[in-house]
Amino acid sequence: MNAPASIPSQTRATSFVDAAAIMRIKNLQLRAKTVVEGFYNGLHRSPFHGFSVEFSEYRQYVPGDDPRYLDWKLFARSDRYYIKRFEDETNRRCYLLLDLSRSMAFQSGDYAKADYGRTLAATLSYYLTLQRDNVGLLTFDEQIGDYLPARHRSGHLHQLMAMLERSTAGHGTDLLSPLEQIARLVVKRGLIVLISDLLAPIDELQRHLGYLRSRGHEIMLLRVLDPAEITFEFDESSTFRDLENSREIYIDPHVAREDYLKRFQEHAEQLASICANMGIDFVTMPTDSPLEIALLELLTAQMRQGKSTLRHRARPERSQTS
Amino acid sequence: MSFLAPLYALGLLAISAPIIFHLIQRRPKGERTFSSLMFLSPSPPRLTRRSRLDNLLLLFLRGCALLLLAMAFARPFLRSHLQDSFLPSRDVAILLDTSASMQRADVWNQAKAEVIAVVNDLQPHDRIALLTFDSELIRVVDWTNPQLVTPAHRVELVEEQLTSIQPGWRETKLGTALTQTLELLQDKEGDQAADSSSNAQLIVVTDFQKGSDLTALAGSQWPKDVGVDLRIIAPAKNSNVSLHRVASTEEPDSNSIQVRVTNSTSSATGEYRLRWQDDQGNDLINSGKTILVPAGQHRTIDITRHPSAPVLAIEGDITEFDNRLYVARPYRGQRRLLHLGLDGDDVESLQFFVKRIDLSTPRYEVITESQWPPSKLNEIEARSCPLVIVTQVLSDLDISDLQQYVKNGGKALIVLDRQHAESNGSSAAIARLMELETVQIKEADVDDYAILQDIRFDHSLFQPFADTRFNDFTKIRVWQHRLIESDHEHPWDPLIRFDNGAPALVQRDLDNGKIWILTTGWQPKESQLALSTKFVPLLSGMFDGTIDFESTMDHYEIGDVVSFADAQESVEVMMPTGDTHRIETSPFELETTDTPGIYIASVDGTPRQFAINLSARESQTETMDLVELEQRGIVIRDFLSEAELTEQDRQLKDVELESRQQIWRWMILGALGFLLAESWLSGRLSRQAVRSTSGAS
Repeated sequence: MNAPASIPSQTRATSFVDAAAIMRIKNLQLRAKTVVEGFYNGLHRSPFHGFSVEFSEYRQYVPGDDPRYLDWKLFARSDRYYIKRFEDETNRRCYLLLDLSRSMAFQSGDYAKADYGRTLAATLSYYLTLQRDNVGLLTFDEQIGDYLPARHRSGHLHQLMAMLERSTAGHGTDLLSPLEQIARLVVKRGLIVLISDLLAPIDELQRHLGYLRSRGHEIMLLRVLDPAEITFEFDESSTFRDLENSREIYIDPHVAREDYLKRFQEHAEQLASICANMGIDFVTMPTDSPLEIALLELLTAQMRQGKSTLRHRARPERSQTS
Repeated sequence: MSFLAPLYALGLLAISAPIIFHLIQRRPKGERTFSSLMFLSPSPPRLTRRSRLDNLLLLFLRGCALLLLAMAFARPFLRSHLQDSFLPSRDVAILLDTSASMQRADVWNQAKAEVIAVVNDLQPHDRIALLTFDSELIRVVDWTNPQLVTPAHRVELVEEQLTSIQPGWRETKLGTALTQTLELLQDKEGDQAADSSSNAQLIVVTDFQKGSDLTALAGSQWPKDVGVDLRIIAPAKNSNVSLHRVASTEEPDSNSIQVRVTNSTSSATGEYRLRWQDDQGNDLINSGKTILVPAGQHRTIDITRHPSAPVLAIEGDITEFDNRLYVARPYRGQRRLLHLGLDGDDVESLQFFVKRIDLSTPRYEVITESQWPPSKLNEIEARSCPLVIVTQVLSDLDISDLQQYVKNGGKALIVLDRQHAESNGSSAAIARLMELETVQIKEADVDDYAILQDIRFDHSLFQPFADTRFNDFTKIRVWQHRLIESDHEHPWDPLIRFDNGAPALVQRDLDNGKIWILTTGWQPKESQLALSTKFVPLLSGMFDGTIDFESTMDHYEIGDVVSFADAQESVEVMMPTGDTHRIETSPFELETTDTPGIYIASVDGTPRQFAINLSARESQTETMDLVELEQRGIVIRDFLSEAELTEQDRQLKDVELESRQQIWRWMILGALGFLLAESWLSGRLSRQAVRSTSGAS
């Protein structure tokens, strides 16, 4: 299963609400609500309709099964006892990992990458709550910031939004600690959505992601980038200061652009290749791209995951019945 | 214009700084934050040439200020005219080492070349003297007079003298050479007291070996104004193995000698072979031995003499001058034991035992001679005949001759056996010989036998018997003995008594000599003395007791004075070179021992050999540390050639000229002036700029 790592096309983006407009809404929950509802409106027209229908399976009753789950209707039809099993959609655990390191504080436009990331997290959690999924949140920079376990109950979303609102930018990035912690905390397999700019050496990223992937979690990477980071369109030479480690170097953009773009592209390609190899969904989200894309990707991932889970579970059953 | 410190003129490069700064685009002040610099590498600062230089006048003023500042630090001065440099004349004594170690490969040629080089470096008006030294200092070229000797002639003179000099065999007495040369220099300065500008310098061309003797420097204070320049000539390979005889207690007739083989620390090998060589220097096959001496160590070994080879040579050493050791055949003297009495081979005669005693030692051979009647007693002397044994009554003439002999240091033993005692006039003769008025001799009444007691073990004659292992004389039984008495208050010193109290052996000293009287005979009829173990040591003690033994050493070192103390009339010595040296008058001493080898001396017609070898110190060829000289107060100062001296003089004059002119002060003032003007101009320009911008706004 190969995840699409491309930036969503412009044509699709036009049918969504402009990110800049969304970002002007002050209240985070309202922002999320706006996006999700807009997404639902569009979704009814989308070609993906119907994929999210839950399905069930039947298993012959054996003594010891809970009689509550007997399908009496089927019994009525076939005079056989069957246990009805539901796809456990509502108990899905989803963890949002939000990178709030200093590099996320970079902004070339009106809002920073961190704001965008926060809105993304809010949107996803709102959407997942609507879907009756358990949502958890973990913010981090070079160490773990806030942590909220995945739950689905009244007030949980509000608590989560409040946490996102008050979170502030930290220092450097250290992916290992949050990933380790998540791995420790989440025993049951689930979906982990990592929202970060992933500006770190490629081998380090590979090691950390591989670690998490090895625990059996589904992972989705939402790479938040500022347009200036992608295009590097600066005019004047100046001293560039690294936001994370405060290193300063003198840069003449005219001279450095070509080299920067080449190396940036290489890094992105390597990242995409690693994700493809590991079966990780990887989506690049420039801060000017519509937020709904993330929802769409989530939906696609869920659908894919559902399929794979079904396939995974169905196989032994078939072998048993045959 | 000249500069005292021209390196400071490099400061002129600073003028370019304002121009370069002007051309370099300054680093932008703007700062921008960026998420990560991981994809960025620093850009080189860009040089952009501006189309024109602004404010040329300002630039010029700044340049001028820097120029003057840099030149002021370079200490400029004006050389108005070239002064004639008059350098003081010097007394230069060149000391050339001619010791044996200078014979090493190529050292001598290098040393001569060094001397020539030094002479070439001299100023025309320097006075030089060339001296050679080993254990003696020799003046080869005396102080040259600069007015008479041109520099070219001076070089010729030295070169000519050098051709006739060769290194000798003597040892290096550097200390003595230095002190004696210093005295020469000081005498010279005393002569030229008026000429205060002269200064003295010593140049020593030597291999400066470790064996150089510096002891003479210990007692003297070296003057600070006399510098010594040491030109050390050392061969490329400085290793050396040397062979020397050890002055040991070995006996000359023992068939071996002791030699010490010393290896220097820089030697590469440690295995050498000692081999005997004949007079012509040919190796004798199957002689000598191989020894192992590691570098920096020495071995003392016994080596068997070769009956016909006078030279012991060492093989395997690259430094050859000290590889041969001359070994002379040991000399053995002759001595006479004179017996004045009847000759006979009867066991009961005294002579029977005297003839059978061999008193010879390794140093001399003793010939026993019996005379009766005595002849030429007046001719015997204590040196060649240390003891006379008298067993008969002597005539008056003989007594006076013997007395004279004793007074000259001779020794006489009078044995009073019964036959002698009963002879007519024996007591009178003894009294006369001993210069006593009366001596009574009578036969003692011995009951069975008498034994010897009261032996004077503190006396030199009996000291060898003092040990408890040897001091038992009681086994010697005496069957007959005489009683001897005198009216004199203290006629003699009894050395042994019989158990009845009568003296058995008495001693009377006459001037330098001694007379002993034994009051019994040693033949078995009278006593057991001759058959006892005490007899030979006792006679040997009497014979050798006061012998004036002359020096008969058979090995000396180069430069040693060889004394022939036993010579009476003449000594003729044949040198290894073939020359003959004759000594006719006392003291009989040979001083010219300059060549190593075997010397053959004829001492009053008796041939004798001795060997002259190199001094062991001379074989220590490693170069000495210069600190050794400095510790003894020697002032080590490099000799300056004429060019160096001129340069030094010029520098001194330049410093003096510069300090007098002090142009740098004016330059600093000029620089300050330029800086003031620059400040004024820049102030004015900036005010104009402000005014124009405010006007524009």
